[in-house]
This record gives sequence, C-alpha cells and structure tokens, in this order.
Amino acid sequence: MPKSRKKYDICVIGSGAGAGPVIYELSKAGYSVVVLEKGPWFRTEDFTKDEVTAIRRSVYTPNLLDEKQVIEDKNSDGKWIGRNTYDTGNDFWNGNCVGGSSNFMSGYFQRFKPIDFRLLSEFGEIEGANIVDWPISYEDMEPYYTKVEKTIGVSGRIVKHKHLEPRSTPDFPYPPLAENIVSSWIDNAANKLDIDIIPMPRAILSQPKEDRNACVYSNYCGSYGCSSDAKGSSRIALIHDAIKTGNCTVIPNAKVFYLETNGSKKIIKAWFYNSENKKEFMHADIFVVAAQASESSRLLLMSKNKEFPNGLGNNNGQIGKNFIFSAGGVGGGEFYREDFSGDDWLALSVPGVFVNRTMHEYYQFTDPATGKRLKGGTVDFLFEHANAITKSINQKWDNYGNLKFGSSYKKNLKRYFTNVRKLKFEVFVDWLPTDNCFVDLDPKVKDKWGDPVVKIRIGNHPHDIKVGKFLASQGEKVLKTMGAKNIYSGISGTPPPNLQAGGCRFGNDPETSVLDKNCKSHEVDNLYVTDGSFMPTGGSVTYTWTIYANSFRVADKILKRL
Amino acid sequence: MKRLISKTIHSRRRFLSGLIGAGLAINLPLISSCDYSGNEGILTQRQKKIAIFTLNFLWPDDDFGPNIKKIRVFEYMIWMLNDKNIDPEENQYIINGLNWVNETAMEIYNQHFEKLKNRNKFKLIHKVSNMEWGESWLSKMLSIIIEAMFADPVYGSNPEGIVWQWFNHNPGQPRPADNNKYPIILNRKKENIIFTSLDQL
Repeated sequence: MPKSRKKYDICVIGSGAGAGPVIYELSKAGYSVVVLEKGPWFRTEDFTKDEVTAIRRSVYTPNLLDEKQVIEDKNSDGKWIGRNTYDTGNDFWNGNCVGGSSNFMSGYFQRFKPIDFRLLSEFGEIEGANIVDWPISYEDMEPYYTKVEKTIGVSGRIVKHKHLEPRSTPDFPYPPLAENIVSSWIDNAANKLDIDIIPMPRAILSQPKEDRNACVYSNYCGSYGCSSDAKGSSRIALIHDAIKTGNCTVIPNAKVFYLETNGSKKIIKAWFYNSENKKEFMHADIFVVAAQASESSRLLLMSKNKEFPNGLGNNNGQIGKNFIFSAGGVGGGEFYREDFSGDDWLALSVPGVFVNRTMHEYYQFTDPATGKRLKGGTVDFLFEHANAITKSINQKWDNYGNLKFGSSYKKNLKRYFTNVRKLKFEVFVDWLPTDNCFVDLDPKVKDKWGDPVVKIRIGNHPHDIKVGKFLASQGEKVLKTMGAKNIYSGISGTPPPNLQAGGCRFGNDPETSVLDKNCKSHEVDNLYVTDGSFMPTGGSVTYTWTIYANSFRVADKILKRL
Repeated sequence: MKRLISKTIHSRRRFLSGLIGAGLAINLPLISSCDYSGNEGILTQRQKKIAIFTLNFLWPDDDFGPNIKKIRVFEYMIWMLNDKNIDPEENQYIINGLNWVNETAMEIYNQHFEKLKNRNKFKLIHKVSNMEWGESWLSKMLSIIIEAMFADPVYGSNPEGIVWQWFNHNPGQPRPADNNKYPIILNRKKENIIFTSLDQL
C-alpha cells in the first residue's frame, strides 16, 4: 500500500538551479516546502578531487544500465535514428543529486542581454526556425540577476564595452578571482585586434560569505563538486539556508514519475519511487517542476489522464517542443615550454588560478557576405581541464584516428604533461529552436522502473553552424595573436548534454506556449515549471544565471499568489 | 554507469585473414615477470599472462618512467574486473579480448599464447593492433593503464603518487579517503533519510 505524508504548501520536484530559489524564498517566507530530489544528498566532504569518482564512474549520474535515454540524430542518409545512451556510451545525464548539476558547473555566469529577450523583433524571422520574443523584458529580469549576484555570490569586474547590459549596481559584490598570466596575454591580443574581450564573471566566491569559504583554487572546478563551498550551487547557496528555516523538508532518492490531477485540472499528488523503489505520494497545494529541461518535459508527458490525454498541461501539444542547447563549438591552441623564458613558463604553468576571459565583440555583428545584422555570440577562454586521465585518453589517438601506444606514446605523453599548456575556447551561439529539436517519450525503451525514457532529437539549424564558424575564426585569431601554436577549432551541431533548455516555453498565447509569463502552466492552475524549460530562445551565453534569476522571479509571483 | 566503450563489439573473426607472414620490425622491451598477487580468480592463468603481456606491450618497460609493475596496473585491472558497479558487459569485453588474442594465436601459430616465443607474442599483439576489434580492445586496455596511472593511490595503483611525480602532475585537493572514495560514496544513493535539519547531514 503506497504511503502518504502530510500535506505541504509547496512540493518542488528537483533541487538544482531552477528549484533552489523557489525552495529558498518560500521556506524563508514561512511556507511549508517539500523537495523531492531524484538523486542522493552528497555532502561537501564527499566532494573530493577524485577523477575516478567524478569523471570515470557514474556516481553523480544514474547508471546507464538502469536509466538510459534515447538520442535521435540524423544519419548520413538524412534519416533520424534514435539510439539509446547505454549502447552508445553518449551519456546525457547531468548531476542527479541535491543541488543538481549546479554542483558541477564551472560557474561561468553571464547575463542575457536586452536583445536576447526580443530576438524576433531585433533580427527577424529565419526560415526553419521558431523564433519568438520573450513575454518579459530584460528590465523585468534585471532585479533578479542582481539578486543572484548577492545571494548565490558572483565575482568579477565590470568593464564598459559596447554590448554591456544595463545594470542597477555598478559592479559585482565580490572582486575577481585570481588569474593566470595568460589572461593578460589575452587582453594584450584583444588590444592589438581592437576587440572587446572582458573579464568573465564566475559564480565562485573570491571572499568568504557567511558559512561559505572563498575559492581555494583546487584546479578541479568544472565537473567536480566544490570542497570549499565557494561555488554557488543551489545546494550550498540556497537549500542549506532553506533547511535552516525549519520549513523545508528534503527527500533525496525520490524519483517522481506521475503527477495526479483531481478532475478539475488541479494537481493533488506527486507520485514517486522512494530509495527502496516503493511507490509513495506527496500532497501539496502548489507543485513546482524543475527536474532539468528534458526530464521536466518527460514527467509532464508521462502524467497522462482523462483530462490530459497527451500529458499534463499538454492539450495544445506544445510540451517538449522547441528544445534548445547552449552550444556552438570548441577550439584551442598550444604553448610550448621551449618558446618561453623560464619565468613566463613558470607563471603560465601555475595551476588553479583562472583564465576568466570572454569575447563579447561579436554578440551581434554584420555578416560580411550579406551586410545584414546578425545575432552572434560569445567565445569563452579557458585552460584544458586538469583531469589527467581524460587528458591522456584524448592523447591516445593520432590525427588519423589510429591508436598510439608503446614508447613513442609514453614520450609524447610525458612531453604533453611537462612542456605543453593548452588554452581552449568554447563558442556559444544563439541555438535556434526548430521542429527538429524536441523532447518526447521513447515508445520502446524503459527505465528500471518500467517507465518510458526520454527521447531527445538533437537537430540543429544551419544558421547555428554559420555563426559558430564565424565566432570560432575570431577565437582562432586571438590565439594566433597570442603566439599559440597548433591552433584548431571544430564547429559541430552536436550539442553538449549539460546546457539544455526549452520544451515548456513561456508565452502569452496559450495555443503556442506551455507556460504563461510567470511560468505557470496555461492549463493547470497549480503547476509551475522553473528550470530552463521556459526559455523560448537561449541567448548566447550559458543558461545557469538566467535560470537562477527566473526562478527567483517566479518565487515572487508564487508568494504574491499565496 | 558511464560506458567507456560502445556496446557494438566488433567480431574478431572478420579480421583474421592474411595475417601470417607480415614481417614486423619490433624492438622487444623487457617484459616483467608474472609475479602479481591479489584477487585474480576472475581470470584464468592464460588470461592473466595475456593481460600482463598486453599491458607491457602498450606501456613498455623501456627505462623511461615507471613501468606497469611499479604502477600496479594489473592489480588495478583486477579491481576493475571485480567491480560489480561496472557494467558486466564492459568487463566481459576485456576478458573476451584476452580470449580472442589466444584464438588468434592458435589460428596463426597453432599454439596457445603462453607457448609462443616472446618475439611472436609481440608480432601477434602488433597484428591484433591492426585489426578493427583489436584496436578497439587495445584502446580499452590502454585506458585501463591510463586510469591506473593517474588514479589516486587510495585505489591501489600509482603507489605514493609515482606517476603524478613523473608527469609533474598536481592532483587536486582534497584527495579521496577510505570513507568517501568510490564505490563507498555510492552508498549515498541508498540513504533513506528525510532531511529537515542540517544536523542530519
């Protein structure tokens, strides 16, 4: 017999960046909040810099044998082929634990700019893309961006440039993190090229904040949980404080699989599997779904009943549509020990301190071929990750795809570790929403509980590739000006799994959007979706800051309603 | 679990034609003797010999840096093969490869692997490296070597960080300890606690 528990004011499904602000604000306001988190609660002391745990095994993510996903991509014949992630090894899971993937982010934090809220009005239609303006403006979001800076903790330094977004405060609340000498070389290159490359803000504390320590420059940040609590995860920056209020209950290892309605288009129960895989349910007045974009759409699509035969809040058939990623491509170049004086090489080799530079020159630009103004993007510079196992595995193939081994591999690897420093860049374009990028339930593949797994079609628009190539060529120019060698870039339509959004876009028209402008379902009065699902378009920077800010905004709307 | 290989495992037999007589000029580094200890019951003696030879083939003892024995790669591999949290198919693939090497030895030399002269063992593994299944399997074996080299000593390889020192590599801090290393940390996924206070953490 399934167990039921007491009724809460708010039930939040998920605990990452989209959930944390709602949990935090409503708990602090005195409402009873229960959090159903699919994954476990890793404590700060669990987060060591162990590559076996963080990278090589499925510790922070589900076992793919138990929980596959299906990724649908175009084959060489132009047909869409779905393959499950267990078979391909192409893992699309992110952090499944209290705090979600915000525990493992790099914390590159940039605001969207005003034009990102009105992409259609600014740049017009593009054939094959479902571009719309947001139902809110940058001005609506600005106070919440500022709130994130203070509450989550953002460090950095404002530099005036032509695409700087309006701010209500002059600078970040925390000064910039320590930087490697290479940052000054990037600045010099930018000056020579006369382009805007600015300091990258980070959701990492450069100074202590209440119970949290400042960054200790461990050299293992992205993909790793923070051992000093400097990184602004939802877990440490928000949920800890929410728990302290006495109004917040967190149930880890609780996988929600169904939202039950009462026949009057209102959710009454969230059904979940507990840590022993037994079914339980939770009562609440308001339900907030923030399970990361693909899984949020999946949960709503799984919650079918007579009222909602196509999934909860999906009588208009919009759930899962217009899925987007924050992506574009990568590139890099190498610096060799023999090309530097001893002091410069030593400075370049210092581990832990950051690069923290991002190119904003081409956030919008004029297409040299057509003379038309285009939405561009950003190029972020960073060192190759310190992960030694990953780095060595990447070195085991030659340029022709042949396996390297033996004494020559040993010598090459030794040289790579001791005489080469790689500076990389990541390109972020405004990934266009199309009919070929969406989330659905896979008709065949089930998870360990027997539920249909998510199917993600990852089609991209050719415009994304065009803009990505342009930006990558600018990134290469910077590296060349710096004197880097072996410069390369690769622009691909294959998205990264960790930066996903859309699927429940918000809008004013109930026929073409899933959520209203306050991220409440058009069709279900007590359902909110507060992860990245709401975004109709995704700007040209990583999403996390905007997800945090929007969740704070929605928390305010819920508080006004209560 | 993370899958380190594609599940599509190439059939060895498709690549077994025209192997005999392809001359190879190979330097023969010293092969460490098979004096490893530990829970090796998961492998037969033959599989063990093939594994150790192959590991040394991929990362030869050529007086340049720590060797397979010093790094304790074989012990690490045995630990991986006994890890129930790793996909059984993935570990079976490693063991299958060991068997395929012996099958290839039988087909080419009509002798079991352990009966081959050292020079022929080298020629055999080199031939295997040019086969599609062989390259895929050797790639997996090399990944095991790499993982053993750079894993924290808490996992039994890389004793006292000898590989880190040789590569001038700085491991991150804090390092894993017995109470929070893999797979102990997976116990968090079994916790049945309703958290209402930070004191419960």
